[in-house]
Amino acid sequence: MGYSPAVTDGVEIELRGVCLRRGGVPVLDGVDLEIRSGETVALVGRSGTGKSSLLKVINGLLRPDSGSVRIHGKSVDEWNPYDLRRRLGYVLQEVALFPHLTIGQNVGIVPRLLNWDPTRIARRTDDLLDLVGLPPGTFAARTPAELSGGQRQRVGVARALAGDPPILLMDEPFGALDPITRGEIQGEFRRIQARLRKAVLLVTHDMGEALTLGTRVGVLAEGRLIACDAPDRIAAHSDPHVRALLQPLRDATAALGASR
Amino acid sequence: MRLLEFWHGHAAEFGALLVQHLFLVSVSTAAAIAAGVPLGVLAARRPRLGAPSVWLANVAQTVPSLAMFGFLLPLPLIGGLGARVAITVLIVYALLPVLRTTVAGIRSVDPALVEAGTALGMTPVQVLRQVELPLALPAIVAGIRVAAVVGVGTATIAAAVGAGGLGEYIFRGLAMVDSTMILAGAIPSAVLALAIDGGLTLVERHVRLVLTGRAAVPDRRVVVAAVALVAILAAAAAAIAAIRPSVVRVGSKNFTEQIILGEIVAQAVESAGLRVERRLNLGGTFIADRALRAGEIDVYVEYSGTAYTAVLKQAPETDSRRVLESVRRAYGDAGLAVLAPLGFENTFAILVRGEDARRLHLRTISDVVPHAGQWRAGFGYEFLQRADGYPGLARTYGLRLAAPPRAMDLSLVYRALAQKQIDLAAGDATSGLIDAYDLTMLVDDRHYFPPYDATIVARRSALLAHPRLKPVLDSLSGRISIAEMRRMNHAVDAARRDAADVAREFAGRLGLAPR
Repeated sequence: MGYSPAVTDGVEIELRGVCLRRGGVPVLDGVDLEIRSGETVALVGRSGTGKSSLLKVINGLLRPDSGSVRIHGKSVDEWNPYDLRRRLGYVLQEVALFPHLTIGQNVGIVPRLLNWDPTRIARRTDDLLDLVGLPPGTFAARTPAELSGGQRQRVGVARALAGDPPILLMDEPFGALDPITRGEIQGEFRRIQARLRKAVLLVTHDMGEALTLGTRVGVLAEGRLIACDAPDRIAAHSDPHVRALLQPLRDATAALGASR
Repeated sequence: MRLLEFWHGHAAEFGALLVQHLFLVSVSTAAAIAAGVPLGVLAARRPRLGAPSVWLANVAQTVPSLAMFGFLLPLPLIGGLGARVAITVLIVYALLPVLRTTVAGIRSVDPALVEAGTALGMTPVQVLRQVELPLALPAIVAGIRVAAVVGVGTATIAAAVGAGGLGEYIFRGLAMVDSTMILAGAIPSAVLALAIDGGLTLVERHVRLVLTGRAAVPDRRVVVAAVALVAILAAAAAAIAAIRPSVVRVGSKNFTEQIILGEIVAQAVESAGLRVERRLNLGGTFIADRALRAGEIDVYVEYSGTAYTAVLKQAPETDSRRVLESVRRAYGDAGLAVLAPLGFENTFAILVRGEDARRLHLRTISDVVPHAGQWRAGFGYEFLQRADGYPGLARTYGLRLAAPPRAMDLSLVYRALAQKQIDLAAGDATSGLIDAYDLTMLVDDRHYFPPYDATIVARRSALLAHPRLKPVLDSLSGRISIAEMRRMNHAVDAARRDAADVAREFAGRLGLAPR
């Protein structure tokens, strides 16, 4: 709907000096961030460092106290909040599929909200289920209760992509999965992203996931974005907060080395 | 077996009452859903705004249904006799379960799902319709089930305000002490309640299965058809309530004598060429009086003492002319006309066995006093308690009995007296059993009892609107003797004859042209 790509040379999300306080406590403190089409920015930080709040500031659920948030070149304040959210694919923590709808209906929610015609919705739903590796013939008519955790996670991604949004926001999308499934689905996600080239902002507390999926990795600590750089540079970063987040990975690698 | 015969003999009427009953329940339940679900959503969203509605529904639930009918009768729009007021009362009772379960259902929805809906770009209304209401649906259906089942039970009481339904048989049966007739209404309404409970349990289970993905979502057309059906019923209800033909509405209270008198009045009015709507068997003095004052009935038979003490709230008074005059004045001020008495009194009757009366030449209560020292007495509970009952009677006549009077059910005193278990009893002056058991009613020679002259009361506006009405009502004055009334009561109560037939025969004897 009037969407033409690349009006701001591919910058889809633009945050400038975003500050947010809740109950007098700063949650976000002067965050600057730009995300372009084709990029995956992975934000890492401990629990309570404002990661989820940052996503809510972007989709208009929270309003920053100062600073500006521009989506596709337009301030969030100028967007109709519902139009805005329908253009921001959202993968939620714990997936939150609607239990009373089939898998096909779950995937088709945003297209329905956008008033697409039913045949186009059906085609789109099938395409997306294929894309995330769930053959629609087998899965479209099932309900969330009948799926495994990994399959549900894939449906969550398909649901977020259904309205063909230029932007994808992901809140700890693969957090609840076992390591093997998680590895599989991460690979799948990279394949999809290489094809679709969305502007992706992914939030996680797991540095390993951030380094695997991010084209850039941002580190949030106490509401400040203390680093935002390519994965290899983050891995070599000297800031103590960053080192602390990297520590579990080094421990795991060391353990692997020792057992060999 | 008698029950089957009854249904067979009253098939058409039974069918009509069953339909009426279903109609009352479905319309009121539908309205309670239409009001209760939005209110419940509001109460779940904004507890401060919504809590008062839950609170009010709670309070309304505790009001006895007959009292609620009485309160609502005089109100415009929702009040009045018939289906309208019954539906209003049923809605009030159905509201609480629907409201409560809606609140509980909405509150039980996982907040993560509401957040998901919002994050995907749903407006608040879309979140409500696509996420919260579908997920709250099993709870809401459970509430509707409770409301409908309670409605089937409460709807039987609707017969007390002339709304029909299966309660008609229950009330008529109670008035005539006819257990077959009571069962003829009570059994089907119990079956109906079970059927509705079972049906809605299936719906509820199906909804849960759909929600957890173990059953298919029902066809949209089925849902639309069901909603349309309820809407049509509601429209029909409104239409029925709106139609008010130019007829004379004749009422009566809910015991045999009143129903016979209502028939007599109705047939007399018909004989004058006027159209009559019968609203007989209204639930007692309170309801009948309210109905008359609200213009829901135009005429019924009241007793002067009842009007004086129960309606006008005066202390008992024994002078019959003074009672009638003050009733006439007070009713006149309210636009009501009190016509000339019909000719009999339904007062307390002090009774002895006919053989004793003849042997001892007993005619008045004073005649009994010398014998009372060797006699035992039995009285109804009410008579032992009332201001115009036994204590005053003993004082007035200096009556001293061998033993304190026995308290027994009023329906048993006649037989107890006839079988010589007691020698003196207080009964109803117009009871058919007085003649059936050869009992003698003693004259109240000291005028202790307040007068209970049966008298037609009518709305003056109805008398003006139908000029032929007053002459035909006046033609009944002084025409019904106490013996005649006893015979007619006996014919209906003991011989199980139809009140309308008994009234028709009376009119024939009187020379009123039957139609």
